[in-house]
Amino acid sequence: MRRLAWLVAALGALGCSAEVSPPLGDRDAAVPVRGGTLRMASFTDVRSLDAAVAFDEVSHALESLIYATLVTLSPTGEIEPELVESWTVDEARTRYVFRLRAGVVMQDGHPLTADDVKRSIERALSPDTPCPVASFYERILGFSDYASRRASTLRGVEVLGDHLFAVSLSEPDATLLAVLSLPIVAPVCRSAGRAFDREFSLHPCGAGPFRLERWEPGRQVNFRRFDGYFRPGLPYLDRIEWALAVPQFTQRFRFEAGEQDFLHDFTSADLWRYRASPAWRGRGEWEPAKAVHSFFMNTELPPFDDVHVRRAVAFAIDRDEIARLRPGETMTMSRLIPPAVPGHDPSPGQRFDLARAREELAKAGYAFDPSTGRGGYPKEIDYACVGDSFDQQAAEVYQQQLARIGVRIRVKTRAWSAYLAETSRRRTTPMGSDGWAMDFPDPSDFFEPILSTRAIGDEDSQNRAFWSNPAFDALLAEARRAQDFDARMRLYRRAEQLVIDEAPWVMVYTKRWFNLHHPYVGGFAVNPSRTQDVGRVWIDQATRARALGRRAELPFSRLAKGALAARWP
Amino acid sequence: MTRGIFARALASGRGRAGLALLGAVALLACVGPWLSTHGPNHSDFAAGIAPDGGPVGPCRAHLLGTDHLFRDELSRLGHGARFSLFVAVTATLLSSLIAAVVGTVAGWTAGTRLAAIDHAAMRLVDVLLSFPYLLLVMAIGAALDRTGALTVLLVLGATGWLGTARIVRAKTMALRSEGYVEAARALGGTAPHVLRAHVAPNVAGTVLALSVASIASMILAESVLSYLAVGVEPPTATLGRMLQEGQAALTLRPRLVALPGAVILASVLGFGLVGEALRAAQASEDRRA
Repeated sequence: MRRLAWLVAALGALGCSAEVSPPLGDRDAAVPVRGGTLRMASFTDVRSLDAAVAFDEVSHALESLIYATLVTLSPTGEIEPELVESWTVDEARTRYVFRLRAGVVMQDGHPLTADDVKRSIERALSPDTPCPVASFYERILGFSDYASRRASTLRGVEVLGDHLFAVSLSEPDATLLAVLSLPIVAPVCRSAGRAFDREFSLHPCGAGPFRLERWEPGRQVNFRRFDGYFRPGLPYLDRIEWALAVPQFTQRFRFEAGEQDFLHDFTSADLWRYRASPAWRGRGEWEPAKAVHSFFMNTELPPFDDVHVRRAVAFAIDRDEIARLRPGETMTMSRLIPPAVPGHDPSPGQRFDLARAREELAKAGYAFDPSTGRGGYPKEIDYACVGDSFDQQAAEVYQQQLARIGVRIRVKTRAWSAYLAETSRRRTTPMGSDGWAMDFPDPSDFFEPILSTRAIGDEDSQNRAFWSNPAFDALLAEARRAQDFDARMRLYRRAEQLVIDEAPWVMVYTKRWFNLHHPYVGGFAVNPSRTQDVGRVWIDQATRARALGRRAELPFSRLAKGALAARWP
Repeated sequence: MTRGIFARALASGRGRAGLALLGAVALLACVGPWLSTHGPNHSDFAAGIAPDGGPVGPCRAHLLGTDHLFRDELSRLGHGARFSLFVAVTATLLSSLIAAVVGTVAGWTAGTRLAAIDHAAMRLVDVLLSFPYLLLVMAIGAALDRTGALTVLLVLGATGWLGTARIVRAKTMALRSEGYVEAARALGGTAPHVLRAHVAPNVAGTVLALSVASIASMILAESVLSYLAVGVEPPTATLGRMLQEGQAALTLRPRLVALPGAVILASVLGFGLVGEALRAAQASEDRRA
């Protein structure tokens, strides 16, 4: 018995305690303090720190430290000046004139000029740059000539003076300011040159609050304060150390040991524990649900070239079951536009109805008798997803749900890069997990990059369903031109209804992130468009030092006692 | 002779302990799925949820609780044990057969005018020993577009014979100079006849002892492959995959890691103990001879 007690105590000391540790620090860091190092971590790695190329959530968070954008989004999602201080737009809404903030210095010491802005935009949208969302900017005048190498410069971006530039459009585009808030077209230093060069990712340079100090791919990226940052007094921190590819359960123990100040990637179990812990009550912030998680059906491949099969699958998915896999974090979604995006409609879209699902499958010629298990689609269908992910878990549940209507799927797990390559290649993958997270708060972000005909390509197709619908494309074009907000939303609702009815995608759930930090971290606010926005936080170093000193003094016997108190569920 | 070794091994304490552990695992593999009314891949969302909002713990409907996808843990554990035992035993049979044939032929031809066969066989062993089997599994899986039980079984079988083949070769070389083998050859016995009638029976005990211990390695190897998500495809229940799936809830539901971990431990320890007992019995037999 004594041996068993020692074993349990040892496990507790190793971090297998069922209870979470209390916050480090006895008071909140309410007053901004300069100095200190913030320790962050992410579950995923980043492939590049070049703003024109990297476009995933973690890259976005890191890029926001290095680069300053032309305009930015306020906490309520409105466009605000950043590097440009003001702008005007003509009556036809096809020409914007921007005035740059005076006295902005880039991290290489050069002053920011309108030439830098034009060079940076042209570099990002050049056909030689693997920019994943160049189509966001296709309404800039001369874009197609520039993208097809018929022109050597982008005609629609003009330098009018040292601090004055204009952007002309081929037709009105209500999303222009929103897409200018993305780091894709953020000004980069002259060292980046005019053409894309992979080496720049190793020495990124912009006008943001931090400069890159060291980057070890797959391990760590460190930043140091840029003293020439254009916002006086900012940033507060001296340094940020950001660990990469750290498993979620490791992050929790680093956080509790005071080796990590901020926690964003939780296992479902840990999230529940923190939320239930009285010591952490009232702490932490939810980010709004700004992504849609779904799966695509390739409309160019059988059996999904038949709309009845697609509808049958859409009717067969019980979203409530998926939401129960990660309660609190995941919520059902049956439409395309997530709750945090303007234009979201809370009414049901695609719905679960087994009888209708079997009816639709019968219309396609694959009648299924659930009592005998006979009938249904005769072949097994490959479903692609990233291995060891929540998408894989969801796929294993879809597999059971679709078996109820006689559709058998085989879950094919792939590494992230292989998944991207296979699913975006034409006539290759019949179905697989998909989704989209908000880049800017506008519904167009959830239609054009992923479901329009323009998004179809033989390789690297963003439209993985390869769904092409002229009526849908026409609605998007009209919505993009419309300047009246309500009229635009009505058009996007109609486009959304087409997706619901035609079912190239089955929308299943949305997810929201929870952010937690120790009390000695101050100034954190949820950003409407990016996660882990820590550029303006500060650290009360004295409180942290005291808390860590106290933790170091904690006798082993107390740790063991805590572990012994853990119950076997 | 082999039967005698087996009897002596099982009479030893280690042998009995190993057999008891293996009996427990076999019982789980046979009875576990039968005790559960749920299939290993069926998510029972109707069973309700635990107070923390997660899958239900042990209850009447699910004796060992449910996993992160609300699937019956007992049913998956039983199927996982079945799968692991099947793959490990079959792969070991395959690898032992290859090892016995390659080792005997190489040992018999070593130092003769057919020594090229021995050289070729041993260089092949050297090359294969330097090849990481994880890479091999992934390559075969990619080539076949799926990693099924057969893929894993073949890869483990095709890469697990190398060490045993070297030992069998050495044993065969030693047997070749034994008086009774030389007498059989002098009396006109052909090589296949002498190998079959005089060498093979004397090598069999060694192969058996090594094979039983090798099953333990095969169980571990299969678990590692599943843990690293390069084994059989989901949702097939395997012990390694259960371990991997359970680790995210380690702090909240340690049973999801402890149970498959315990079954792996019992299997590996069981086969290891029986293998060790067989080896000791074989060594004692060799000394007597």
